[in-house]
Amino acid sequence: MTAKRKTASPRKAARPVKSAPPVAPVTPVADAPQFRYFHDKVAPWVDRGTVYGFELREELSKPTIEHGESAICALATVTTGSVFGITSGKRGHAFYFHPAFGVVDLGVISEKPVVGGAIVHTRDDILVGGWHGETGGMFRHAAAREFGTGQEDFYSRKEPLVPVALPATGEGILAVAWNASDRRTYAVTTTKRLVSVGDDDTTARVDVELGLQQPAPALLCLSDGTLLGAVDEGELWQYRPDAAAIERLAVCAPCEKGKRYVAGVQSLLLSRSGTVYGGTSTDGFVFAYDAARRVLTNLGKPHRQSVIRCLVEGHDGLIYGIVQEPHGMAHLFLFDPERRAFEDLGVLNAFIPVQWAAHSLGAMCTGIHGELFLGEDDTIAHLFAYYPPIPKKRGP
Amino acid sequence: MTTPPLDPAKCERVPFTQHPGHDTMWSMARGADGHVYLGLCLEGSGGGVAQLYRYNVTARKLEHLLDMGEVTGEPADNGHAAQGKIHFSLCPVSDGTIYGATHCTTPPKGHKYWNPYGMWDDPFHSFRGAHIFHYDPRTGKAVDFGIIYPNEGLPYLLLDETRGRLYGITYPKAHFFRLNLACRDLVDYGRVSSWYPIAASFDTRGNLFLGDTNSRLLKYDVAQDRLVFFDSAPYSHPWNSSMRYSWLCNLDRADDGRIYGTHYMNDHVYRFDPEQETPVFEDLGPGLPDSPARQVRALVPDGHGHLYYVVMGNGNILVRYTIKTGEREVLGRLQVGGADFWSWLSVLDRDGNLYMMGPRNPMSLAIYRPKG
Repeated sequence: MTAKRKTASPRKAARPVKSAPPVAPVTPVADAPQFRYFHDKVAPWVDRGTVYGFELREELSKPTIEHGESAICALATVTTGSVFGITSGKRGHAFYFHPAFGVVDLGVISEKPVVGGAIVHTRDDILVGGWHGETGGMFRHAAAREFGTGQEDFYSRKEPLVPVALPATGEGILAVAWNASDRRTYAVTTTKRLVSVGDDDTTARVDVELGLQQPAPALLCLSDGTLLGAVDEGELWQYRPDAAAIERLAVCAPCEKGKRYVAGVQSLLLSRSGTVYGGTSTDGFVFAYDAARRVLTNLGKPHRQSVIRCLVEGHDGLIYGIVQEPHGMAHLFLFDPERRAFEDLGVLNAFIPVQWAAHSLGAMCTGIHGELFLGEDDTIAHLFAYYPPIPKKRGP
Repeated sequence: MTTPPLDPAKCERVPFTQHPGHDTMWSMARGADGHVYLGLCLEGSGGGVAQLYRYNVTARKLEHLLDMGEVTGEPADNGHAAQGKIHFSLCPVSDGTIYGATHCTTPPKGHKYWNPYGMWDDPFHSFRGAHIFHYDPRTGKAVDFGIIYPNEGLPYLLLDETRGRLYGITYPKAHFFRLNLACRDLVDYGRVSSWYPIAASFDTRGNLFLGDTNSRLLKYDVAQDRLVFFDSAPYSHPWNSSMRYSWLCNLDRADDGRIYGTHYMNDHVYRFDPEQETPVFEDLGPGLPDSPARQVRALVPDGHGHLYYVVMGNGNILVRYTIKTGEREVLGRLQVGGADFWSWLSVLDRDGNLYMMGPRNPMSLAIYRPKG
């Protein structure tokens, strides 16, 4: 047996063997532990993922959403990726965020003070929104052409806000939900009733009275077309569009003992799994509601503050929310349904394109790529985009 | 070329021997009695409370007046973030009394760090809130107005004596407010800036001018009781297009009626006429055109056609600027007792002597007496 002599491969042979170049010794920074300490243990900013902050103005255009009328109270995403919102304050505006133009003012929805509002994506790229305050109102907006801009469009397109006539003039809108089953947008109003407008209608009708109690600013449409909402003391109700009345569910959102009379629901979310998540206005509890079994489970508190202002579901399967009580400091948090665990992510602070920390956040929605949009509701408000971290995966 | 130090014969260093550990001084004001009132602060370490001092210009000595732990009822070891600072907030009154406010960022005792956002609502480590106080030198007593904004510091306070009002800014939420001294009723105008404005000046009619974090000029219109946000801003370096972290600093009205100021991110001095409907900034150029510097600070008009300011570059150089001609006279490098120093602000006494934050370790007051 003849042993083959091993030879170096041509490529290997072509490489001259060199000794490693001298490496300059790394001088440790004397204060490194101090800086690490500050970063790891003192800084309160959201640093899980990335935060961007945008002024409420369109590039190349004179700002028209003035300070004091820019507090974002509602956000919704359409399938093109644009994000639509409503502002409150001395007046109200509708706007959208487009990556080419920034925040585009669609116009004033109310010349009178606006306290809050709601907006929902319906079919195609159509949104329905409404507001309440000194007066109230509702509108529909078709957004498709606003996204379809060419490369020489230096200014935004603005399609009209089409008024929807409400049963009572000036009726305020607290919450909206779109029902794909009957292609109607339902709204909870300040006059304590449920109204709805068909996809092709411009006049809303009264569907049902909610009773004497004050309705919560939250409304969901479940997958079977049932509407789910809440009233004072955190009591849930549901309504099937073919029914004559709402059904009180005898299920209440959690609160601390002795606070039932001031308890309430502030936010509701239908997750992709079908579980309903909710947040309370008193004590800041997050709960899960199984609509089929009519069982409500208190999941606990993400933070010491009281109000769970918004809840959304990320593409990562996590539930994200804002907790902030009046005069408090808004914190972004997450709930992991698998681990049934909360995590406080901190205070939102952007450096690019603007440097701004958000003290008060009033609205959230999930973008089409899994980013989260958050609306500040302060005297001078900004729109924030939060990109959760991309999990590391092993490549091929 | 190194600028020679100030004439030692004209300079004096006065150490705060009673509070040698304190490390900053953010408030200086000339009282109606002619003496200079000083807010001595501690922010580099935890658990110290601010001290109110007076430099007696007649006796030429420091006099300790108030311990803010005693005034506020929050001693240094109370566990919360300490009442460690009196920021830009000493407001002399014509009757000889002084208004002032405490401010935060001093950690609790035993702590090295503290963040107002992270500790905002912490029941044990939060800042409980700034106190507004009123001190009467004749009695040596202070009245504590209590906490106006829970959890917030008050980095800025100004007095409109004619209308009996205090104006202020909160931190970290950067709200602008006014407080009626007679009824103590509060009007909050909301958030005005990313971080809090760090300079403000009245015009002759009681309008208040201030700037946001991005150099934008704001005016509190006293007749209309509202804030006006102008699109006016002073010179900014071309590479700072966003003008972030570019506060207006050291705003002060001179005897020509115009408001002068400095910039947080460059070495230019500017002025504007507050009587203009939309004030236009006039760039006066670098503090010292031949000596590019990072910043200009401690600007103060002398009431006789000049400004004093400090150009902070290769050494901190005291300059006297003649308003009429634009002439800049280099007075010397800030050095007293052999120690270099810098100062954010300065104040003049009636004799034209200049007071600045002096060298540290121990913290001291620096005095420059032009006439020796």
